Amino acid sequence: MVDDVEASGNLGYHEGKWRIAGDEAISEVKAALKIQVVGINHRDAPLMVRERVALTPDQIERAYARRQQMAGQEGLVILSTCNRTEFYVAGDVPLDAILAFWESLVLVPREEFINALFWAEGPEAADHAMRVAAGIDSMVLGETQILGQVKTAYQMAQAVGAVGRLHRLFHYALRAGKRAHHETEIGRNALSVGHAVIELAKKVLGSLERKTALVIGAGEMGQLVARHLNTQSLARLYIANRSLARSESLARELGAQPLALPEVPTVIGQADVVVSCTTAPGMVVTREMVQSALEGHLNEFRFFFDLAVPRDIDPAIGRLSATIFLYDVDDVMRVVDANRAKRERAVAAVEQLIVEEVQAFQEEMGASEVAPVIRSLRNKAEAIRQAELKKAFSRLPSLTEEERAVVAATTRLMMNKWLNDPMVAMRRWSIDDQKQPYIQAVRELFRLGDDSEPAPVE
Amino acid sequence: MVALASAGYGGAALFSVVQLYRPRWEVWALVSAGLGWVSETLWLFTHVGLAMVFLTTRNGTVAVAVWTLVAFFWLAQRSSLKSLGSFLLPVTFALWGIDRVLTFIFPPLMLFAAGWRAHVTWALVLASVVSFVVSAVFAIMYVEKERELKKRRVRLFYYRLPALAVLDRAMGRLAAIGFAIMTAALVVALSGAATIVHPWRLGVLWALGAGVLTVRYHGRWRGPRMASLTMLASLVIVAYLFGAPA
Repeated sequence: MVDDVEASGNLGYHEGKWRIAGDEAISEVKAALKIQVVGINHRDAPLMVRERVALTPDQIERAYARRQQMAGQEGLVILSTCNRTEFYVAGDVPLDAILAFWESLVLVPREEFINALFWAEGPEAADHAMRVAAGIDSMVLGETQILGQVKTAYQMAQAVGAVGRLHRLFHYALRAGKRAHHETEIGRNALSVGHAVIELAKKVLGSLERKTALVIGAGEMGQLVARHLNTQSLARLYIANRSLARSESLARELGAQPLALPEVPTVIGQADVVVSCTTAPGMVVTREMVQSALEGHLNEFRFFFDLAVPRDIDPAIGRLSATIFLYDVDDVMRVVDANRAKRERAVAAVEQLIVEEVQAFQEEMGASEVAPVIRSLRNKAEAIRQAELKKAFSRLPSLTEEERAVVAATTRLMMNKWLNDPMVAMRRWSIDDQKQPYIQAVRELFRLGDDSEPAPVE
Repeated sequence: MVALASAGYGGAALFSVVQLYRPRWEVWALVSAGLGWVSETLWLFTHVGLAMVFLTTRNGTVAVAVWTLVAFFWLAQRSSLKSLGSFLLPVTFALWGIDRVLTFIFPPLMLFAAGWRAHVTWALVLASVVSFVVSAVFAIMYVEKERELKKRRVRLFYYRLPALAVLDRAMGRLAAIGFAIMTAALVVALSGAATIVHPWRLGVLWALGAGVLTVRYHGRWRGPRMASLTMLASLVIVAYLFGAPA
């Protein structure tokens, strides 16, 4: 209800909604939210710098507990992985204060990392958060792990109530990350030899579930491939090595079956996937060995990967049957290169969806900032309408209820039509930094205060 | 209706190929296929009439075969074999187009068919043909994907088509299903149907199907040889579809 309105407009609407007030009230209007990100990542900072300023989960917890040291912060999320350490801060916090806070956490003077720092604020900070979540800022383009790390960082901050006004930023960043992986091919197709072996085998054999694989060589590459294969629910995984002790050690870790090299011919016929990566100077898998082992089964699908240099597998094996595939390390790398090129082509699509998400985020943030002004303007107009109606009805006591309703409806319609254009304009201004002074001008022009309550009921 | 169906199937064939390169075009392939399919369905019901007619004229039988192939496409959309459409829809459009041209040159003949056995036989032959055509489409997909893998030049088909083993299995199963249905058709035909299907010609097709399955399951043929044989057998069977009733 309107308590008191004077025609001159010098007195306000008393329920704390809008008031005809001076500069003091205007200064109460909430300032636009400032979001910034400060950090270092693999692009500009070498590992020796990144490892000095990275934060462990315990340190991050302590940081959240001490976040009030940064005066003015209204939200804090810390993302620390092996490739990046980033502070997302909401509120009017000077860069110097964030750096001082960071120094106090890692006990490393800023001079040691300041040259590798990056900083962004506003839409650029939102854009950065989304690029990180989508994996296009990662060392391995399009990797999916970072999306989980961003989510974990957000949840960790949320658990201690540190997210504050960064909630919507991370909502949009996580959504952009999910969209990127769902709607584009940025995260698809292998970029490492280990993954490429699995991918290629699947392109021929379909699912590797209940298939048998044989890895010959338990060196670094053999271990890597065996670990990847072990994630595929194989029926059986054999690991053969010149030194049985080494194959036993790896087989024990993976739940596989160890073999000595001389036993390879006895199991090679069972294997759907054979990966050889020994340092032997000669052929480890010969044409005769495979031909004899596959007697009567030459038309079944098999994939041989020769990742050794010099080669372990006789190239003639690939000509034994059309269903036998043999790739050497160059062939696998060619696939990796094609996959990388494919991911690079997907970057443009990801960037486009990030532009959409940043815009949506800005619009939401802008709308939330302009909303009090719109409400205040509407409330003021409504209060004036109510007051003038009251006066008019007191001067026209003969009006019936029906006539009063018609007059009230007409004035409401006039008010709504008159307010429509300014409100549309203000919503548009809210996403344009250069138009922010216009919103302030509206506040001053109509002498509006901060108003977040609904309009009074007629 | 025929013009709408032709436009729909033509668009579906075009867009289904384009969507291999630009997945966002998939929706246009679906819309076009839907337009063609609905138009053809209406045409079958309103202009050709039900089973009595369309199972006894060439253009009627081809139309039903095309309708069934598109129905198969819709089923494939719900599975992991969505890319089938990029190969099946052009093949379907080719069948439809050839039939339209033939219909224009040679007006459709009404063929003699007496009794339910004749219709059952022809319906079974039709189902068998559809099965072999889809099998051949899987064979084409197999050959394309295998070529990229063997040449170590991974491109479109490497990324977009299912695994070779999956394609090979689908190829074999559909040929087996087609053969089983054709066996049933032969049994019905030999049981005394006064029929539009000549049992001896059906017998030749049956022997062809038997040969395909024998080399696959007894001779353990897989891969490109099997794919080529499947395509060849399907081509002969489709030629029969166009030629038998005429």
